[in-house]
Amino acid sequence: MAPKSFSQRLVLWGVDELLVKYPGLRLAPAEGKAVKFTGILNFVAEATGKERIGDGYQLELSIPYGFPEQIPLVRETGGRIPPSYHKLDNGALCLGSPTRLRLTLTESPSIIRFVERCLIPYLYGHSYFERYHSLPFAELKHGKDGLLQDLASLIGTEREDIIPEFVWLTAMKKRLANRQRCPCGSQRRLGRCHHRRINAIRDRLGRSWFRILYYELTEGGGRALRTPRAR
Amino acid sequence: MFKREIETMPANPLVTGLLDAIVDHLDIPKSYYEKAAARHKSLGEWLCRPESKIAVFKPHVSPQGSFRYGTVVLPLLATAEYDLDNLTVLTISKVSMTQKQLKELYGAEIKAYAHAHQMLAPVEEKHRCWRLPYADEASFHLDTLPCVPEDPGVILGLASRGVPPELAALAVAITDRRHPQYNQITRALLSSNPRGFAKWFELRVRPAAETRMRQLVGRRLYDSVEEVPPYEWKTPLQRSIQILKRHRDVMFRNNPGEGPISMIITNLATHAYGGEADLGSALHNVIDNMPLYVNSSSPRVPNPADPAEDYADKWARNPLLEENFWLWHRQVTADIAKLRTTLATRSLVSEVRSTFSVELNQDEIKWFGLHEQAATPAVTGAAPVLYIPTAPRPWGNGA
Repeated sequence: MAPKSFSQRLVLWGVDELLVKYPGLRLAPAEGKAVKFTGILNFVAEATGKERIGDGYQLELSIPYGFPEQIPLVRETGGRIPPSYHKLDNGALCLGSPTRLRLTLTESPSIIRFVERCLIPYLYGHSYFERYHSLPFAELKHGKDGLLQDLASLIGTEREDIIPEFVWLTAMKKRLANRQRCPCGSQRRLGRCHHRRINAIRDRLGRSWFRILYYELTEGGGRALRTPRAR
Repeated sequence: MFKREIETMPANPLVTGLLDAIVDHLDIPKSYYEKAAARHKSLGEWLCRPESKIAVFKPHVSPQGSFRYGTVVLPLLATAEYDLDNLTVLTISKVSMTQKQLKELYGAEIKAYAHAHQMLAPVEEKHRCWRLPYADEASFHLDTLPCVPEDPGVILGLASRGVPPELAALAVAITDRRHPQYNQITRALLSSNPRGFAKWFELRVRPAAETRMRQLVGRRLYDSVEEVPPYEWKTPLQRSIQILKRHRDVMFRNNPGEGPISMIITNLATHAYGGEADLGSALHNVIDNMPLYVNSSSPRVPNPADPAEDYADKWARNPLLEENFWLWHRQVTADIAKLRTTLATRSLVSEVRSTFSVELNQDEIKWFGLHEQAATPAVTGAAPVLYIPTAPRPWGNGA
């Protein structure tokens, strides 16, 4: 349910809980369009087969009013993470593919969830990299290949060449998409093949998200995205 | 979870001790209050002198603002000015003259006062008041607001809307340069009731001040409890307001003017105050309950002595001001809760410094150190260990 007011939004996002659990982060005066936290995020984290690391980073977190549909932007302001380490062109941290981040966040509109599922794993990865000069977690291929790689693992196929077709179907209405032939080459219609994963991610992120993705993947040269009226 | 956690926390005497120590650092010298009172008195005497052109209107100067409520805090910058406020009620009808005539008649007396007292800086005309600059060891400026008593019909209207008659009777009509009929005789002056608010505040605070007032009279500092001024009351509500104002000042130190205004904090805190006898419990209750008194529609934060007067009227024009109120409220809630948990830890001194810009002195540090064993269980401030089952994969750099 969308929050009715700014104060309700703060409650819904669990701002109180974040300030208590990560007291180094503080709310900054309003600038409009986003709620901003600044300060130090201290954490202690561990991963399977990896050592426990305690560390802290000076950060600036911008949580857009459209959160969790819109993804927060995080900048490291302490000058510790170099531009060459998983950063976006605008200098913000590249925490993961937007589709993955949105899937993680739509489960709950909580900032703590974002911090603990998306941000701390990134920071843990950097701290680990500083110590061992290797990454504790996998990374995606560079550029569009990485996008295809990520979607392939989401959809459950190893063939990256058919991903745009799957994305095209995900941007369609469910009833119509299920009648189309599955791009995996099984000769079955989608409703009898890869429909579970496709329907699940469409339900969570909405068709418009996949329209944008399809446009990105095909660089605007793909099929028309207008879906025929269902009878 | 968070709210329950706070509610179940007992009012810790150490927390109250710490908060009291912080307020002691924020308090201005008593001599400043005395100087402020002397300036109001001096102006009142000037306006009533035989040569005064407004003496015939029986001017009555009534102090207002934080100097009246006893909630002044030391400014963050030593060079900052203290705001003194008063209003001067002239006993004339609204239609005796235009707003412009009234403002200028009063202004002439204020300028003469400044000249007679060798004030170097010029008197400044504001939309509603005149500003008198003072310059001595502490910089003050006095905003003095000319006004006339409200019409009986307006006062009856306030009473019919639930304002206690003794507060409604204090309503006044004020001048405003932006008023469309500023140059015309009209009954449509802006209505305001700062005296009613001050009286409401004092009525809410006074019960908690009785003991201290009797002590001061017992020590022969005052002849009767009626003579003890509010700045001497030092009640948990007044001290809570001082804490909240300083927290606001620190949070918005780089954006002065964008934080919640003192009148909103004072108003909401006074509503929320439940008569608690100690500062820790009072502050906890005030912070917890003040949002209950923010209306969802206009007037958002009404003057209890004039419900049409909205202290948050700027929120509609500038939504960031409202957002800043809520952001500040969430932050102060967290910071006060954090003080409780850092009491027994080494980070206490730095917490107090960063949150209130206050340096605890060696005696205070020692005092809290001595009580370390009795304090709340120490919390390291570090989050519990987080297990990372999977991590979102960022893009590689293609190297």
